[in-house]
Amino acid sequence: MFTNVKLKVIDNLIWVILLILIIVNGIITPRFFSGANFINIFYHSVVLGFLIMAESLCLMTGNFDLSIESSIAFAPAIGVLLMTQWIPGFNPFLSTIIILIIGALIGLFNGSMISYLKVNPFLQTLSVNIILRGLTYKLIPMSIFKLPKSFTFLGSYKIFDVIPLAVIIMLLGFLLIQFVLSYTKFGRNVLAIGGNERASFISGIDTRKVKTITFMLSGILASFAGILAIGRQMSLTNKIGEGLVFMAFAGSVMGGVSLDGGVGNALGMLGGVLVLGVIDNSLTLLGVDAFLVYAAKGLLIFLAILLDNSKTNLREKIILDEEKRKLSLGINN
Amino acid sequence: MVDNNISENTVLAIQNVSKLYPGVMAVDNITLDFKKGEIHGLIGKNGAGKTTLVSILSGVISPTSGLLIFKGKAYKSFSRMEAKKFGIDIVTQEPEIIPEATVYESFFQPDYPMKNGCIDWNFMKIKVKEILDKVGINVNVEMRMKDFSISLQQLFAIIKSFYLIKAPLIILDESSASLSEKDRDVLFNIIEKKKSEHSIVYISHRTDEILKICDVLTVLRDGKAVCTESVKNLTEDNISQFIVGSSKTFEETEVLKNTNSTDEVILELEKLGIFKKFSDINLKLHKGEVVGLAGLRGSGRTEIMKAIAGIDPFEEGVMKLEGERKKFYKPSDSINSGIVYLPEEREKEGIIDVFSVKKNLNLVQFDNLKNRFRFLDNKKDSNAAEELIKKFEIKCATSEQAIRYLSGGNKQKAVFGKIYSISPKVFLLDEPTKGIDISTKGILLRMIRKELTQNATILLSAPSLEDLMIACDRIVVLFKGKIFKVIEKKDFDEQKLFLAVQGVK
Repeated sequence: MFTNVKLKVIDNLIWVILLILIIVNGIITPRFFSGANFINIFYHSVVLGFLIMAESLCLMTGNFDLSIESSIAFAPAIGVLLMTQWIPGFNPFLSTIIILIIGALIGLFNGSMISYLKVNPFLQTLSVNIILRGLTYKLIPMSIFKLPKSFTFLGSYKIFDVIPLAVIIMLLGFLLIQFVLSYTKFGRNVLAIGGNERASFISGIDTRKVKTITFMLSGILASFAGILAIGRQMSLTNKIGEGLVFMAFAGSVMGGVSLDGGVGNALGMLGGVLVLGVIDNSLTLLGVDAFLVYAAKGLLIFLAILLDNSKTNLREKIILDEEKRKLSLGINN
Repeated sequence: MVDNNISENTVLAIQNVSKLYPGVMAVDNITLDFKKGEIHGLIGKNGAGKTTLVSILSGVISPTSGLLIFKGKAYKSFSRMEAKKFGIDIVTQEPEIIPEATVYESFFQPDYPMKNGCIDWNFMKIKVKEILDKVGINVNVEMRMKDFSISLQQLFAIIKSFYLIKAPLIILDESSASLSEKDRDVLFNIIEKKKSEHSIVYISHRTDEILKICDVLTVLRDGKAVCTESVKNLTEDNISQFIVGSSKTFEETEVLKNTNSTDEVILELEKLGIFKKFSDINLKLHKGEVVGLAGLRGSGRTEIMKAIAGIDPFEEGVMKLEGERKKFYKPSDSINSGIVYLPEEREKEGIIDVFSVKKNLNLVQFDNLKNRFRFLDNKKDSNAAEELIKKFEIKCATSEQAIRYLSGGNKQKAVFGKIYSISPKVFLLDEPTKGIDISTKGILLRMIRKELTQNATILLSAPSLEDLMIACDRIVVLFKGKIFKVIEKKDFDEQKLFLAVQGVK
C-alpha cells in the first residue's frame, strides 16, 4: 500500500513541488496570497504554456523542436503585416487563420525533413529557428502598435474584467491534449513512437506521417502562442519568444515528459508551467534583480534534468524494494 | 591440483568446466585442452553451448565451476583483461569494427604504438602494409573500414589476430560465415601457414570446413562434449549424427499430428528477390498451413519475411494475396491487408518497453476499441487486453504493469497477442522461440499450430530445427538466398535437415 503512495508522489512530483512552493511563498512573499496574483501567475504563464504543449508533443515522439522559439514571432509577424501594412483593413480573423497555417507549414517543413529525409532534428530545427528569427528582425525592425481589437481580443479580453480568456484557452488546450493522448489513436501513436520507433513502425504505425503531424501541431501551437502574446502586449515586437524554447524544455521535463520520448501527460505539463510561473512571480515580487531571475531559471533547468534522471531510478528502486519485500514475506507474484 | 598429463604443447586446458544459467546447464562439465599447432574444431546446434564455452575461454563470462589452466597455473576464471594478457584472442561472428577508422588504425585499436608520447601513425601504416602484402591482399590502407565488405572487414580482424597480436590461442567464432568464397580461401591459407605457431579454436556450422582444416573436433550437444575425436576418424555422416544425437525420435516428441492445412492458397510468391539478399523465391502458402523457413544466418529467412511485410520491400517478382497482386512499402499497409510480422529482435522491434502490457497488446487493434465517437473505449480496451492475456497465458501482475518488468517469454507472448489481435490472414513469425524457456516454447508452438492456423497461414523460422519439425507441415530449406530443398512433414529427419541447411544434397 505504502509503495503505491510513494509511486503516486513520484509520478506527480511536480504538483508536490508546486504545493510546497505556494506554501513557502505564502509565508515569505508579500502580496503573494491573493486571488488577483494567482490569476496574474496564470495569465503570465499562457505563452509558455502553449510553447510547452508544442515542445512536449515533439519530445514525446522522441524528437524536439527548437524552431518554436521563432515560429512564435515569425508567423504572427506575417499575419500582422498583412493586416496593418500590406493589405490595410485585411480581416483580422482571416489573418489569425493565416498565422496558424504558416505555423503548420513551418512544422510540415521541419517534420518532413526530419521524418522522410532523416535530417537530424537538432540541426533542422536549429537552422529554421535562426532563419525565421533573422527574417522577423528584417520584417519588423520596430514594434507595431495599434492592432485591431478583434485581433488582440484572444490575448487581452478578460471575462467579467477578471479572468483572462487566454487562461481559459490554455486550460482547455491542456485538457484537449490530455484527451488526445489517452483517447485517440493519434495520441497513442505519438507515445508509441517515442517509446520505440522501430517497434511502432513494424506494428503498422505510419511513423513518418505521425511525426510530421506532431511537428505541424507544434508549429500551430507556437504561432498561436504568438497571437496570445501580441494580444496581451497589444503590440508586436521582433523579440517575442526569445529565450523561451529552453524554458519550454524545462517546463516539459519538470512536468514529467521524458527526453527519451514515450512518456508524458498534459496534467504534468500544466504543473511544469505553473511551477515556472510561481517562481517567476515570487522572485519578481521579492524584488530580485531581473538578471538574477534569469540565472535562477537556469538553475531550474538544471534541477529539472536532475529530477528527470533520478525519477526513473527512484521509481525502479521502489518497485524493486516492493518485490524484495514480497519475496521475503513469501508472497508469490 | 593440476593434472599431470597435460603435455608441454598445451596452451590452454579446461577441466570440468560448467556454466549454469537459471534453468539451463549451458556448459556441462567439459574437459578439453588446446595444443599449439593444432586446430580444434567446435560444432553443435544453436544453443549447444559453443558461444558460452568460448565466452568462458576469452574471459567474457565466468564459469560456475571448473578450472582454466594456463601455463600450468590454474584459474577459477579469467577476466577479460587477463585473457587478453595471456594472448587469448577471439574473432567474433560479426566483425566488430569502428566504421570511420582507417584500415591501418583498425589493426592497432586500441593499443596504438607510441613514439615520444604521440601516436606513431607512420609506423602503423608501414606495418599494416607489410602484413597485408604478406597475406596477398592489395588494398589502400588509408581507406575507411566502412568502405569494405563485411567479408573483408572480417578478414582484416582475422589477419590482425594472426599477424599483429600473434595470440597463442586464437578463437574463430563462426568467422567463416561472413566470408566470401574467395576470402575463405585466404583464411584457409593463413591458417595453413601460421598453424604451427598457434593453437586455433575453429567454430563452424559447416561440417565440410571442419573436415577440411581441423585436426581435432569436439561436438557439443546440450552443453556436453559428446565427442572429442581426431578428424581423421570422422565422416560428415557421423559428425551430424553426433550433433543431432539419438535424441527422442520424432514420433515421441510433442508432435501435433492433426493439421489444419487446406487447399486454399492465401499467399503466393513468384520469383521474389532482393539484390544480394535472396532471389527466385517461389512459394505457395495455404490456409491453415505452417511452413517452416530453415537456413543458416544470412540465408535470407528474415529478409524474405521482411520483404513480404513491406519492411524492406522486395525488388523483383510478384506477390499475390488471395489471388490479388500486392506489394507493400511499409508495414502499416501490410497490416491493413492482414499480414503481420513478428520480429526476431523482441526488445528492439517487438515491444515498447515504457508502455504497459495493455498498451502493448492493443497497439495494433485500436480500431476495434473505439466507441461511437471514434475515441478509445476504456472498457473495450481493458477487456480486449484481459482476453489476450488469458489466451496467451501472459504472466503479469495487472495489465497496467509496465511490460519491461516481464520475463522474456512473457514479453514474447505479449508480442504474439498484439499481432494476433487483428485476426490476420498471414503470420510471419521470425524466430519466435529464440531465447525462450522450454515451457513457454511449448505453449507458443502449440499456439502456433492450433490457434493461429484457424484462419491464417503461417511462415515460421526458428533457431532450432526441432522447433520447426514440431510445428511445421512443410519446411523450406534456404541456402544462400535460394530455395534449396522443400521437405514435407512425412520426410522430416533432423540429420537430413541439418545437412540440407548447410547446402549438402
